[in-house]
Amino acid sequence: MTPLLSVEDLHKHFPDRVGALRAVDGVSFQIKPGETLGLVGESGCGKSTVGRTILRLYKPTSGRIVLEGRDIAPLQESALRPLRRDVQMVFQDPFSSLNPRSRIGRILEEPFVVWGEGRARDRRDQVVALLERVGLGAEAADRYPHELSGGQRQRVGIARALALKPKLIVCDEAVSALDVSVRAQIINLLVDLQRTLGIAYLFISHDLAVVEHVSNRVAVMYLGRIVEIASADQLWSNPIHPYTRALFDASPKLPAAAGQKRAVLEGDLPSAIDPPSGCRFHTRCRFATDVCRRVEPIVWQAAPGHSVACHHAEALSMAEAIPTAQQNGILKGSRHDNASAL
Amino acid sequence: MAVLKVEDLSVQFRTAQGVVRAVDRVSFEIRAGETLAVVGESGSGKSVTALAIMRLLPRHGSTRVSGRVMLGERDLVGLADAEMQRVRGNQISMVFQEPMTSLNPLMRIGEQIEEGIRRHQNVSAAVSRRRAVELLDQVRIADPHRRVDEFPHTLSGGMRQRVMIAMALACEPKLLIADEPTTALDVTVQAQILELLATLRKTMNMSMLLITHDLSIVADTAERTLVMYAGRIVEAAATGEILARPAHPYTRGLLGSLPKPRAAGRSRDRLTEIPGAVPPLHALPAGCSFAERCQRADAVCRTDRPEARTVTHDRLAVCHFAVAEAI
Repeated sequence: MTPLLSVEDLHKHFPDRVGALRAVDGVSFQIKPGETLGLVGESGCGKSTVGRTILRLYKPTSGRIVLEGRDIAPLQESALRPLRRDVQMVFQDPFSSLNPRSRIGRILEEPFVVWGEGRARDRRDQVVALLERVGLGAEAADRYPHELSGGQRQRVGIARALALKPKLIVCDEAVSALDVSVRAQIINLLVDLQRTLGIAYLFISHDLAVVEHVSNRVAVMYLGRIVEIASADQLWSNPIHPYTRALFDASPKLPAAAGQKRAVLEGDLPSAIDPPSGCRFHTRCRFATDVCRRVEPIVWQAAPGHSVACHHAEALSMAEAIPTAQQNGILKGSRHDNASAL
Repeated sequence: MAVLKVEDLSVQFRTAQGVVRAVDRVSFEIRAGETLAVVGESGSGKSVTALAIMRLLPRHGSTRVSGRVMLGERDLVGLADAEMQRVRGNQISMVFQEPMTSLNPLMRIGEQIEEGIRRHQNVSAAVSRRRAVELLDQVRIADPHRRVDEFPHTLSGGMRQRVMIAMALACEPKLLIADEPTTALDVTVQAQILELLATLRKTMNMSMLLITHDLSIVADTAERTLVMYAGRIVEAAATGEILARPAHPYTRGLLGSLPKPRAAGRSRDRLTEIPGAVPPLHALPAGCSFAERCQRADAVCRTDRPEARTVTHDRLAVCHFAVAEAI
């Protein structure tokens, strides 16, 4: 199937006093229509910057963002405008992402007004349809954001993203600020909407359990790079990259694995202004050898659709099922290898 | 033996919307050397309980605290301010959620750690300084001799939380209250901090009150767990029991709403939802606060407030229909 979105060797650097902060530094992936790609990593890894660059809220430093066959990376704002309705966003904070002085009806009507769609009366009907779609009643249209609970506000945020029938929604930590009992409601809503409307999601989150639940495929980011990408099933049954394994080890599980000592990752995330040489993870990696300190790892394909950027990926994967190794020998960051691998 | 006994603690705030009972007749004890977790969502009263124990709530007419907080023979609720200052940071200390805002940005790390030591112990500057370096080493900050003279902004979030812990431990308290100590931290750093707290608790033979919204971190961390909802304790039991056989419908709902690992190749199930949201504290229903969201609720739940019932030995649930059931 042709991808809905194809990101190729994307870079986004922010100028800084002492140099460029390389928030996104050579990232490639694809999203098919109607699928969910999970994007996980810790704060500062660049996952939110990826989301915002795809939305073209940021202008990429280099690379291609191909949306339905068209590269939107170099487009000017005027050329971008007609494409904006295809990609929408749901934000983390349902408190600050809704205008406190607008009624919910007005907030949801705004996309139609901006696009000059329908007459006032039709728009009112569309607002009610949107509210019902996200499980809120028509009466919510007359409320102000402060009158709603956090979960209800996030439903409004989702309804607003749905208004223009987008093909892709970037969910940036969309359920992270919600209480546990409400989070399940919103996750179910997102999954249901995808099933009925066929929307694709880029689901950005630090919460591995949630990402596993909602995603078809998952990419793991570390310091501006994707270190591993695979189907959710494959990644959870056979994580290969040492960082992926460390993330899995660190996340608390229920029920707690009895007596299991967790392998705790030492140290902190290095600076993205002056990232470590070679493999960026080598400063914290138990398996790091000399080559890791000197040479950037190539992308190795563990299985169809399962790519790992690690010098020792093949050896590490041997502990588990032995995949058909096809070392393709292309440096990660040159775009063809990733595009074909993913 | 109990280090701290909380008896019938209530906290009320007078607000524009009416009187809010943020904590409503809460009783529990923390035993010597144990970690007790208090789990709840926002508005459950878990943090206000901690602040009431530490006497850190605002002291104007609109706040009312009643009940007893017994530290040994002394009731902290009625203690004179000067007395309370000798308890705070000395016998009981606290680690807060936000390591970014709870350190003074204008003071060197060492000075901030020494402040508590100098306040509570009659020691020289040289001794307190040596102690500060030791503490930094104890919380596993590399190169403590250099770090002791640095300012907070040079440290990462995880390192700052380590400094907070060092400050809290400076006077070897009997009880450490940790209010969401890892919520602002990344998952790999969270694992480091939880492990550090567990180790220090053992070596120092200290008790810990761990306040969290995250049920999944209590499994590895706490011997016993309390679940709070809308200002009240709804369930109390050994952590393993609560996770395996929750007795209160709310606890069952919370556990059910967590995504669980799925079998490979299986399609995703819907998560179990708890319908609705936490009711506003100034307008709690007459009966059980959870009744409106509870699948099991009966007429009696809407009229009568349930009292704590013993489910099995050492287990309490505040529900008319409490039964311990495997999930």
